[in-house]
Amino acid sequence: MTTHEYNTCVKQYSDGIFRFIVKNLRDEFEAENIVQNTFEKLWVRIDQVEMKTAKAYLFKIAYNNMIDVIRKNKNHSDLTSAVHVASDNYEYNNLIEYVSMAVNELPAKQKSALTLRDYEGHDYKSIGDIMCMSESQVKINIFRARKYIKAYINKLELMIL
Amino acid sequence: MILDKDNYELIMFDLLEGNLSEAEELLVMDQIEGDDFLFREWKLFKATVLVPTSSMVFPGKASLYKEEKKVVVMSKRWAAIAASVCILAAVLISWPREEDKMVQVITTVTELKSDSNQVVQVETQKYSAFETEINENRVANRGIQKPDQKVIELGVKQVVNTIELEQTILPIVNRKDVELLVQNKPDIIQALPSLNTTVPQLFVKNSATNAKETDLALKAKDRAIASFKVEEVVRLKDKIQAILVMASNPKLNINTDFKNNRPSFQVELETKGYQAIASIEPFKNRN
Repeated sequence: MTTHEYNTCVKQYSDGIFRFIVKNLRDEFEAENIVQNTFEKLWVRIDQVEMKTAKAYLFKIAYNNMIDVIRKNKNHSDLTSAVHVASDNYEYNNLIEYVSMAVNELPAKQKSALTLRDYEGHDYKSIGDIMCMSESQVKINIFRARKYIKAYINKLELMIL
Repeated sequence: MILDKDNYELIMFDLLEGNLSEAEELLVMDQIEGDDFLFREWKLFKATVLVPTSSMVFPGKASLYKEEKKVVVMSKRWAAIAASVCILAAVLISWPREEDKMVQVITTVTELKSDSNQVVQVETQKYSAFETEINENRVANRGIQKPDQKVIELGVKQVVNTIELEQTILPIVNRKDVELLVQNKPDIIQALPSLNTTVPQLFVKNSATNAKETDLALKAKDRAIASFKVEEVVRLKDKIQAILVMASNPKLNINTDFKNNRPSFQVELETKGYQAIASIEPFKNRN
């Protein structure tokens, strides 16, 4: 990969990776660090990574970094609960925000698989490569995530019809 | 593919994910649109698709960019001129010449047995001054030599006249432990007699003129073999002269058509089966 191709990767994928991490971690500061680290690793291995595999490589590095952060952050679950409690009292009248609330309650794997699928348009195989799981496992995770979100919205009696 | 309460979620999921064929999609959509419950469930499923917020961008993007190497794009006209000049220079420098065989650069000090006249020939690179760069290992791997021979590579200096010859050779030959061999260089050999009185150990070999080899001091362990390479500028000058002498049909075309902005310069040389043509037409593509 050339320097020009690296810069193209920054232009094309940095926002997507950032959104993916923010959506999963809900911590913009931590997401910024992960994106920085991800591209630093790409730069170090610029000679070994080809442009056509760069996207999957970047998301895989970012995903692994994110998992490390989740593991290190012992207070993550407490933080999630706190945010969830706080948001319960918030009056949502927007479908997107309802869905967002539902996504935040998903298990980490389902959330990651769903965000990679919907935000970045990855297919099952590339999601499997990033998350180190089979295509069928990816499909199951996404199915369960959608089913949960559907039930969540239905439970809140959202008028979408 | 019939939807029922047990399988409708899975089928709707496949429909949403684009996992169904076109025919299957039509079949499923017909059923969904004909049933209120399924239609509402389908709406809910469609709502599970996350919409990326394009407003969320990575704020530190600028810091990630790396400076790219700048590529200087030369215009075709100047590229053509540069290429022509390079070709012309390359042709002149590399034009074959018989004399090249006689200016082989050999400058070494080698350890030989006292009764051996074997000449060690090691081609060396050009150096700026004598004895400024000594590399035993590099030279020891090349040439024809015995395993126990010690080879020390000396520098090579351009020799153009007797004064320089003195300055060049004397530092070597004045060493008590060094013999000097100059071979196949008539000009240098001719100049050597004037130095002989001051050179205690001199070994002259000139196979071209069948000159008698003179072994003045075989007891010395080291022998210097020196011939001289003309530096690039002198070599280039010689090349040009040689080419002009050998060239059977030299042509020089200068077109001074400045009115139409079409001046050009062309050189053609032909000799011993070689032909070189170099032309410059700088304003060819100018409208």
